[in-house]
Amino acid sequence: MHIDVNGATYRLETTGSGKGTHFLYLPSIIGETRNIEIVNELASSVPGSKVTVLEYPGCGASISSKIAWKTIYDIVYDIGRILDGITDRPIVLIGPSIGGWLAAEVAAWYPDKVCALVLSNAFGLRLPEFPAWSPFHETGSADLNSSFYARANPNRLDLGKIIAPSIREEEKEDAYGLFLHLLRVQTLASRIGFNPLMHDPRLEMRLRNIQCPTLIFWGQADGVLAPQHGQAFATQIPGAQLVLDSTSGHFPLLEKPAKHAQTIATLISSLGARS
Amino acid sequence: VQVFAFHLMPWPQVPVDFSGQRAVTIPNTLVDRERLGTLINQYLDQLVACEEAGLDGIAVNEHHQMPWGLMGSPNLAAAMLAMRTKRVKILVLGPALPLYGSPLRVAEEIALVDQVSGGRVIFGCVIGGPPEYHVAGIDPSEARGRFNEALDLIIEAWTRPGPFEHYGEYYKLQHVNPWLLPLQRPHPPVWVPGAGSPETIDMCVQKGFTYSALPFFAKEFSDQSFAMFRRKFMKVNGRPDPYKVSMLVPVYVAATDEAARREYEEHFFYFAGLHGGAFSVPGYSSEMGVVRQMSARPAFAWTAKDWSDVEENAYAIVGSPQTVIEKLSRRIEETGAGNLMCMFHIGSLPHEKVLASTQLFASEVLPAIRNNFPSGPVWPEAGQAFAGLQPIGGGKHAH
Repeated sequence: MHIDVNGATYRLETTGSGKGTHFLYLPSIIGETRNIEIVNELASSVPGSKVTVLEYPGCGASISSKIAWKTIYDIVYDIGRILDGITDRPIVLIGPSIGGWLAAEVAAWYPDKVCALVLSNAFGLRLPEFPAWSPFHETGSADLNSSFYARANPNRLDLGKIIAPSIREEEKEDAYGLFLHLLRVQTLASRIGFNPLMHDPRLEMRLRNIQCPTLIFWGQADGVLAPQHGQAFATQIPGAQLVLDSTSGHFPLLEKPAKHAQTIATLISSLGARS
Repeated sequence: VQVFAFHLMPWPQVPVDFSGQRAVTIPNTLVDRERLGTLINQYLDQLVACEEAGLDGIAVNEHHQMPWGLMGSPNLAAAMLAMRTKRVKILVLGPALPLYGSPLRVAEEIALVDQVSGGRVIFGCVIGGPPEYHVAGIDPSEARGRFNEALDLIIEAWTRPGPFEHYGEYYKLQHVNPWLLPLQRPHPPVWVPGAGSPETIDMCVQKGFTYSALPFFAKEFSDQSFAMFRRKFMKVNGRPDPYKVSMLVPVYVAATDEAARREYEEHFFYFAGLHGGAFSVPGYSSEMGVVRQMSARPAFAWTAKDWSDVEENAYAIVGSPQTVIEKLSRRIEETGAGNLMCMFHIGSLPHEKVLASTQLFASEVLPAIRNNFPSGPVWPEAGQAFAGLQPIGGGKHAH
């Protein structure tokens, strides 16, 4: 499915076809959009659900426009229109990493469009005592061996394997296919978070506007974002529940999809008629 | 061939322990403030000496917050050099356009130097190195868009009667109307450096700018970039113009090959080490450009393993006058560059050695190079069909 907003064309892929809970998954900083285990787990563990994955502009088959995603307001506006395009009911937003930042923004701006929020190791806040490790500091920043990904992924999860299905079809066999995929996600991240570094100074204030049940997973072995960031999100979002994962790194939802999908399913079942 | 002297103005004493750090995070506590002024004056003296030595031009550039290059403002450096020289062209290579708030500030500063120097400025403008984006906090994914718009606006401000409004994607200026205009008409020549990205080459060919190939790539990669420019230029213009191509290379001349290497080698590797941890930034280069550079990544000056690597890849031209004449002549033939930028200072090379090398170059090498290429090199692409034609521009014009 494709949706046009502001001259950009967004590709969305939906797993499941149920009439029940609808999840929108906003990818992490590795830009995973296809064959994601947590997505499959959710679709199967929440009866009657479906999960839609948004491909970021300029990545994969989503086509960017000149004005796409220059500010957080562009992003919120575009995702708001995408939500309008895929459902007429409140949705469950899931966002790991940079996707968590965007999911939190959308939930804060459109409380009526979001019935639950799931974040994991989300960028978006600035804690001077616990600075985020910049994804933009590497020589050849789009390199899974660089210190950014090494810090994000201390358990050496095979990120290349997770990313592989999301690489553009015409570049899947290309020696630089993985690099170009990561470069595009990094470039998008740069638009959003090069300066100020991977956060929005006003997000903290806006988080108080989130009205839906919120689950925050935090991989405590993440060398990019300290657990204090998770605590900060949990403190600011009313009623948020923080789930610490002591062994995962930056990608707990990708590291332990079955386990964390069950926790999310439990949250969804508690929503009752709202979902 | 026109010969310029190019200077990076590096800090010469970064401890080896810091050579692998990120370029802009090496602590500035390592700088000796009391020595800075003397050092920069020596560097300026080295460039001024090039006028006395008979070179055609001198070149300054912009870097920020790194020992690799201390010249935070090339426009200021150019202004100082304009007051200390009478004849040489002053190549400002250049202001990193996306890093300036308003392109009109650059337009006015360049115009100021062009006026006081009697029209000697060449306007080289750059996107800025990736580390500079970390320093300036400018989103690098906007680098190319900002650069293109800023350059077009500067040229328009110099050539179109004001006042007029500029309403672009990155710059919105209600009143464009600079009274400080350059002496040269319609405007100073424009040079644009490139690292082999097809987009930059296309821009230079289409707009008549001089393509200034960035140094420190291995010879094989550089030669591909030069060949790409020549082919594209020939396709559009139908005839060669070596003065639309510029090559930059570190050069050192001493009495013998052995002496030259002995005096130079450690300073070259100090310089190469300074670059080791440079930041890259996403979105800064086009995807095509990145892939091209990735394919050459193992072959940069800063990855040189030993001296034979330096010589084989032509990262520097070092030797006796005869050796330097031969090697430089070969590189000029191979690249087709009618503009040669020599970097006489490198890394931690002492002041006296730089001056001595420059003098030897001027007395022994420069006449031979000029004699070998009175109208610039012949491009291989020109072929028989173009034999006997003068290059566009015909001679010594720094376009």
